[in-house]
Amino acid sequence: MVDRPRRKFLRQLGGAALGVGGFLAASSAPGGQVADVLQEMLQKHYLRMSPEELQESLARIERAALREHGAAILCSHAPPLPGVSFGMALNLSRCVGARDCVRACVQENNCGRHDTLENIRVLSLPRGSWALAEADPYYNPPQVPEAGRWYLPVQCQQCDDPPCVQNCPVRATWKEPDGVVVIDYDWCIGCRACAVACPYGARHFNWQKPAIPHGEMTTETHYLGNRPRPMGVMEKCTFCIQRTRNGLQPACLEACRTGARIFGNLLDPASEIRHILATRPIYRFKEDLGSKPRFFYFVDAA
Amino acid sequence: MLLHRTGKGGRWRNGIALLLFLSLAALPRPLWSEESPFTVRGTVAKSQCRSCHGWRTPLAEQRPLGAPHAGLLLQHGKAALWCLACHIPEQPELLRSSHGGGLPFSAAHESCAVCHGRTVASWRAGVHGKRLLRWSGERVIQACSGCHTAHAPAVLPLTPLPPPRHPDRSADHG
Amino acid sequence: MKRRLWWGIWLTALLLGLQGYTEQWRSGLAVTGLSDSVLWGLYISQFVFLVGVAASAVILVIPVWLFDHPTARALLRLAESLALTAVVMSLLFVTVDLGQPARLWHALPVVGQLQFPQAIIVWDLLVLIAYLLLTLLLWAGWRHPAGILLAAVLGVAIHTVTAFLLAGHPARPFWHTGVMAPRFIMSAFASGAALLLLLQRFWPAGTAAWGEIYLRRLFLACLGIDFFLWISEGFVWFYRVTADGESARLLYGGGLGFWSLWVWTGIGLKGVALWTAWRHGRGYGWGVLGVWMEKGLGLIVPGFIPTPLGEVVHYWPSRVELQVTLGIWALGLWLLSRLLRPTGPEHGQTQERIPP
Repeated sequence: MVDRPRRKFLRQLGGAALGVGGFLAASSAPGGQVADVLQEMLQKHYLRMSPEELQESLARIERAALREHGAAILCSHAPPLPGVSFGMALNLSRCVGARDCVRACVQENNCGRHDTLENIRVLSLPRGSWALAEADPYYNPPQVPEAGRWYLPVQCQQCDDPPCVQNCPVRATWKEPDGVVVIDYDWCIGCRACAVACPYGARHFNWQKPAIPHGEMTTETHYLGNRPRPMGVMEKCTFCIQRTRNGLQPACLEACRTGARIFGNLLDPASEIRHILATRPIYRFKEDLGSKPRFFYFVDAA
Repeated sequence: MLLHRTGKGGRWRNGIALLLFLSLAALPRPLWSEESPFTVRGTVAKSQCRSCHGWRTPLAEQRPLGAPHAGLLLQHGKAALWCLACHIPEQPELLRSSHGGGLPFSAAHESCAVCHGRTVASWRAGVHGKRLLRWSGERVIQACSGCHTAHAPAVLPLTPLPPPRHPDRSADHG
Repeated sequence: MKRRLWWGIWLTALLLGLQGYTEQWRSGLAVTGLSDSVLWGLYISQFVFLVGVAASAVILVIPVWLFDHPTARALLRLAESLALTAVVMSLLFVTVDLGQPARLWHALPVVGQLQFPQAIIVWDLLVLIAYLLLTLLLWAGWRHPAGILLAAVLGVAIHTVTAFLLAGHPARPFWHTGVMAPRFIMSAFASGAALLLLLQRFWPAGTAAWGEIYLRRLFLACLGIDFFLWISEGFVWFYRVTADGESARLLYGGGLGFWSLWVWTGIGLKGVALWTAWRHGRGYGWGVLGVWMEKGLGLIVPGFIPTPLGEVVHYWPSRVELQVTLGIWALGLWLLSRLLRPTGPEHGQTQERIPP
C-alpha cells in the first residue's frame, strides 16, 4: 500500500523524533543525581504507588531537598483522618486586610519567593460593592482597615464539585476523602488546564524553580502539601494538609491577628464551623458556577 | 415567690412549675456556667492594685487619671466607664460578675459578658476570637485580653504586610 | 541562489526555535510572557488555529471526491498533506506549552492516567491522535471511502472538542458560549478553503478550475456564517451590561490596547477578504490572516482578562515564545513541502490539468 519513498520518509521522521527525545532527556536537570531524576520521571501516580514505591519516593524527596535546598526535611504521607471533612469559614466583619495569613501561608507551605506565588489573595473592595472589577489586591496603605473599604481574602475554596479536578487530563489533582483538593506534583504535566478552569484564581504555577531562602524551609512536610515543588507544576492551598491532618490549625488561621478564620470538621456537629453554619447567614463565593465551595464567608450578627 | 402563690388549682400549677424547674437542670449547660468545656489561654495582667488599694479605698468618682495612675490608659466604653465598672473596690484582685460576685482574672470573660453578652457567647461558641493550636481535641481558646487590652479594648489599626507582586511579568523577562 | 537564500532563512528560523526551546526547557516557562493570570498565550493560540486548519482540510474536499471529479485526487492530496502538517504542528504547540514535557507519557492511554471522559483535553488528545493516524494512512495511499468519511467526522470532532476545551469554563465567561464550536467550524472551513486555494497557486500540480470555484463558494459561505455568529454573540455581550460581558467590552472597546487593535484588525481583514473574494475572487490570504489573528491570540488572551478576581492584566509574547513559534512554523513548512513532493505512481495524476 505505502510506496517506497514515502516509507523511507516516514522512517526518517521516526529517527528524527527519537533524536529530539534523546536530546531533551539528556539536557534535563543538570546537577541532579541521575537516578533520582529518573525515579521522579518514571514514578507512578501517587494513588497507584505500592507502599514500598511510596517510601522510595518520600526518601527521594527528602534527599532532593537536602541536595537542592540544603534543608533536612521530613516528608510524610499521612492519610486523611476517618470521619473528618475539612471546611473553613471566614468572618468578613473581622478581616482588616493585614495580610498576616498571606505571609504565614507562603512560609509554612514553602512557596517560591521570587514569583507571584501566594496562595491567598486579599482583595480590597469599596464598601457597598461586591463588584470584582473594583477589587484591588495591591492596596498598600500605612494602616488597615482603610476607611470605606472592606477586605475579601480569596484562596482555594476546596470545592465539592471542583472544575479544576474535572479538567486535569492526567488525574494529577483530585479531592481527598477529607475534602481537600490536592496535587501530585510529581504527576502534574504542567498544562495549566486546572488553573484555567478555576473561578477563584486559586491555583498557582511554578513558572521557575521555586526559590526558598536558606534556613526558611518548613521541614515538617507532606507529599501532597508543602514539600518542595519541582519547576513547571501547579500548586495551591491544601488547608495546610501537613498540619491539619495532625490536628493542628492551618497556618493562615494561626497567623490571623483578628481571628477572622475558623477551621474544623464539617462532620462534627459540635465543631465551631458547624455552629457557624447553623447560626449565621453564610455566603459561598461564586456559588452560582456550581463549584460547591467548602469555604464559607460570614459576617457578625448585628 | 411566684411558685408559692395559692389559689384554685395552685397545687397543679406548683407541680408543673416544679417539673419545669427540674427539666431545666436536665438541659445542656447554660451559657453562663462557671465551668467551661475549654481552656482559656492568654495574657492576663497581674493586678498591681493591691500595693496601694490593699489599704486605701479607691475613690468612686470618675476623674482624669493622674499620678500614680499616669501610665493607665482608660478608654473603655467610649471613655464612659470608670475603674469600678469592672473592679470591686474591696477586692482589687477580683472582677465584677453579672450576679455581683467576684471573679478571678482567669475568668475575666465572665466580667466582659456583663456588658458584651452576645460577643462572649459567640466567643464561647468559637465564632468570635480564636481557637489556638489544634482544631480537634482539647479546645484552647484565646482569652479576651489576648486581643483586647481590658482598659482600652478597641482593636487598633494594623500595618499591612507588603502587597503581592504584579502578575504582569513581561517587564521582568524583557 | 534564491533557493539557497530560502534554505538559509528556514534554517535560521529552525535554529532560533531550537535555541528558544532549550532556554525554556532549562529555565522553565518563566521565560514566556505567561503568568498565573494569562495562563495560555501564543502557543495555545497557534494550537487552536492549526486544529482548525487540520479539521477543515480533508472535509472540504470530500464533496469533490464523492462526486468523483477528476480534480478530486489532486485536491485530496493537497488537503491530506495540509491536514497532516497542521495536526503535527498543533501537537507540537501543545507539547512546548507544557511545564513538564518529560512527563508527556502520563497522558498516554494504559501507561498514563487519563481522566476520561471528564477532561476535555483528553478528548482532544485522543481525537487528534486518531486524526493524525488516519490522515497519515490517507496520505500514504489508503483511500478507502470509509477512511475519508471517517476523516470528515474526525475533522469536525477535533475542532468541536477544541472549542469545548475553551467553552467549558464558567470561570472564563468570554469563552463560555455555545456559539464557540459552530464559529470554530465555520472560520476553520473558511481558512481551510482559503489555504487550499493559496497552496494551489504555489503547487501548480493541484490547480483545477472546478476545485477553485467550489472552494471559493465554501469560503464565502463559511466566512459569512462566521460573521453572523460573531454578531449573534456580540448582541448578547453588549445588549445588557453584565459582569460576564466585561472581557468583550474590554476587548472590543479598546480596553486591551494592542489586543483590541489586533482583534479589530483580524475582523477587518476577514471583512475585506469576504468582499474581495466575492467580487474579485481573490484576497484569500487576508482571510486566513484574519482568522489566524481573531481565533488565535484574539480569542485566547482576552479570555483571561479580566481575571476571575476582576483584575485587568496584560500579556505580551516573550522573545522565547516568538522564537519557538517561529521554529515550529518552519518545521511545519518543511513538513508540508516534503509531504507535497510528488512521488510514486500518483505522480502522473497530480500533474493532470482540467481545462476551464
